[in-house]
Amino acid sequence: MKRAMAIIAALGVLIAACGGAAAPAGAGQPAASATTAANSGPCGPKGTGSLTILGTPQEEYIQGVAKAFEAECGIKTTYVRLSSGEAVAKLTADKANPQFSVWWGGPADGFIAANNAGLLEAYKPKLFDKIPAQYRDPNGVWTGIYVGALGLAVNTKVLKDKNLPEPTSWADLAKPMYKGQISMAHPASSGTAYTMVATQAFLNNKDLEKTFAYLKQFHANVLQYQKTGAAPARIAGQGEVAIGVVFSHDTVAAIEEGFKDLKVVFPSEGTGYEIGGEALVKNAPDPIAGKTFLDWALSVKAQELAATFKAYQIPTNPDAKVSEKSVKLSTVKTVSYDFQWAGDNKKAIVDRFSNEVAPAPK
Amino acid sequence: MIAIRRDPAAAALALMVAAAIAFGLGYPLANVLGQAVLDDLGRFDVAPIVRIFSFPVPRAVVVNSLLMGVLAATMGTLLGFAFALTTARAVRGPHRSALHYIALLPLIAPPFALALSTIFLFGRQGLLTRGLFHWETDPYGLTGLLFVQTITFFPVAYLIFDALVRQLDPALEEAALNLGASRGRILRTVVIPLLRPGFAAAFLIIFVESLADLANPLLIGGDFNVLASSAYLAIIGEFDTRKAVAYSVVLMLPSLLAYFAQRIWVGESSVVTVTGKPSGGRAQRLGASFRVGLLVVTGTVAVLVLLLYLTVLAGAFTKLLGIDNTVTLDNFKFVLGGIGTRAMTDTTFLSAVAAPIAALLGLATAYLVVRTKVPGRTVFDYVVMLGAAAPGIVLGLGILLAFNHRPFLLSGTAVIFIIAFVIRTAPVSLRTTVAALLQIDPSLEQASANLGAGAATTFRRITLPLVRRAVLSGAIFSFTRNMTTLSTIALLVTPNWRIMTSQILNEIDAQRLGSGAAYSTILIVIVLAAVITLNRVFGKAPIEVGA
Repeated sequence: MKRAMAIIAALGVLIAACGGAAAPAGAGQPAASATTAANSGPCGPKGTGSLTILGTPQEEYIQGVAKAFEAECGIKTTYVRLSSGEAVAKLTADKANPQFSVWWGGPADGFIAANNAGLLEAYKPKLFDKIPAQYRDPNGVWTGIYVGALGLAVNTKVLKDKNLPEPTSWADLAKPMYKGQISMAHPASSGTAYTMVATQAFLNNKDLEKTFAYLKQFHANVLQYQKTGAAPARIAGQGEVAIGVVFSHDTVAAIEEGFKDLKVVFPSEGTGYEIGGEALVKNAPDPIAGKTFLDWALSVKAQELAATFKAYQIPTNPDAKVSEKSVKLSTVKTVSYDFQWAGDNKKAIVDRFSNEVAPAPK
Repeated sequence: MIAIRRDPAAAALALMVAAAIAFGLGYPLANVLGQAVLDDLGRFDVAPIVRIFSFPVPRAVVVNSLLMGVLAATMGTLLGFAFALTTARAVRGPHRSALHYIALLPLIAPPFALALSTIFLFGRQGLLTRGLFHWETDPYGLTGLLFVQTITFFPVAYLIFDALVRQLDPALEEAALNLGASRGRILRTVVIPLLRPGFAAAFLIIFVESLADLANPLLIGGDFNVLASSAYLAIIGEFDTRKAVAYSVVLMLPSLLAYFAQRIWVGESSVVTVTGKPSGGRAQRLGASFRVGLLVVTGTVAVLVLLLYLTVLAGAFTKLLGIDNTVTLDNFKFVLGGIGTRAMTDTTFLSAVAAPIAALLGLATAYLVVRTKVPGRTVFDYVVMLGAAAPGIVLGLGILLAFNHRPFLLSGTAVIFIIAFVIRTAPVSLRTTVAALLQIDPSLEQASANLGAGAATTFRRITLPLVRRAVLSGAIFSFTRNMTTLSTIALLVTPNWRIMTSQILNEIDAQRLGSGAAYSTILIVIVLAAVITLNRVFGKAPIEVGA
């Protein structure tokens, strides 16, 4: 028993040591100074010289961007990855003592929700005017860093096995022959799935009765609502279902990871798309380094990094090269997507989906 | 008993436990659960709770959760008991050890691993169902969920029963045998009644934990929605904390009921088997047909468990299991080349620090509840249990809200993770130790007190050695769960400390099932190594009393 006690005592000392060591890191950051020298290069002032990013795209991409920024601008950069919904929950809980200076990536409606909760600080990055107006908030609450179209991840092998035709439209997805063959995330937890729901609203001229009538028919074919937006690509890739509703770049990435029976199909009525945003967190621990990062992330060099980390969204900076693997938005029929409307009505629509659609019998 | 009660050491212990529980548990829980009955301005308002019961959809969620909880707890408890009986009475030697470790294996359930393996083996394209038997199966829904929940949680019951069955006094069974009772009758009328605290503890823990579990319902629950996933979606998707908290409170009510039900059921009846008096005889062997039946059940489950874990292993060493089965080490290279190594050391360190604290908190609370008459001791008991009953995401939110401002500015530090781990796992340690203490005749401690030893000495020299196995079980359980929990720490993430489970989530989100499996494999190896070491170091010494 003595040995056990000794180990426990040693662990106790360790905890004390950790608590002590970690405290100054959180508390020791000086208040942001207002005196910042004008800087013409891609890297602005360093602030405290350290930056913590809250990122939402896939981890490899965030990690790569953090490393590239650190190397180029000399600001020590760490990150945490959370899904869009988790990110808003985390920012809300951290409000009294924010841990992150910027939130980078993830669908715009998450940024709109965060802004409505008073979690973001408007900031127009240096290249703000370079970004097409439809890809940014007019007041600079958030700025778009990438765009990606929603599509269907279709498993050709399963369709062949089941003797089913390839779906070509949203209307097809409501046909009884695809019963139990569709996977999508839950719009409450996934921006991807919400983009699909909002797309239906835009196809129906924002008539929610018609939209929900369609969604109820669609629902009868859904196997199970997933937690994360990209999961349906995996589920379709494994052949558990024939069709996944996901962003096309996630399907392309899944095919690259080896799900070779998948292919991307765009519904003929027109599809929705996401804008990945970036924004400054209110009361950020280091707003100066944060702004430097937001500026840098719109640069051609930073935007072209995406494809090297298998992120095949389309850069918003028109000067950045678009990867050959990306789906060019100009070749896809899109709906006229009203991001502000989608963001403002999200709670009501998701509530209705949770109560009327998701639990309905099939 | 009286001597212990009057001892100042007991009072000091009670104060310390009360302080620890109030700060680490009561404060964060009150912080978040208060929102169920108070609106943003602090006014009394129970509208979110009323709403749950006024609409058919949330009502169905409540009914679903109860159904799942009761079924999972029943199946898990019975299976855990069957395994404990098998390892104690039906097999020996290497078979015993093998079965013992296989029964404990599902404790190490990295998030998604078991549900994904189940889908791989038994899903629509399942390797076994479709590939071998050409069955069109559909595990999505209550059936698949119950399967995964039972496999995930029966080891908890096994842990509890394992400690208890071995301490049964063989003399009692021998006496029954001498009086002419059949083996079946002895099991029914002697063994099972003596294990009542074990059944109560196992049922309660599995009921509470399966209600709070998130990953399994999300992956394999189909349309079968439960409270934990609804609470999660409310926070993550609707940013509606009050709705989530209302779900959590509703989730805790059945746990509270189960808690009181088990207290009444165990009641005051004596289940003492460790008396210190010399006891004759050996444990009774089981009847032949019963033994065969037991072996068939536990053997089948053991094979299933092994298959599920072999699937994880196969996933880690192939490019994309089931689609491209090329053997490769790339997944490990990717994991260890990235932040995987840091995640391994960080998570192991935090889990190892929290485990003994959880075990000791469980022990101290159990001692207060069972052996002292300190006022309010049942409140301690229940508050500690709440730590397991709250959905992880809500608990994590409570901890974050409680410790992200002065004077308790802990966000981003190791301490906040350790608090979360201790809150989450102390309940199991508490239940195992309560069950073990109830088996010990208080006269052993009284004798020590009569001989002049203080409560502290008696506790250290008499009580502690007797409950050592239960405390060890609690520590092992805590370490294992700390390593594998996801929903509790989901919102606590910080770049200062990397947690393996959230890295696994990131890999799965990025469609890299192989790297997810590699992370899971590493995690399983770390936990297995730790468990085997702990058992070697602390588990083998003989129990002196009554031997």
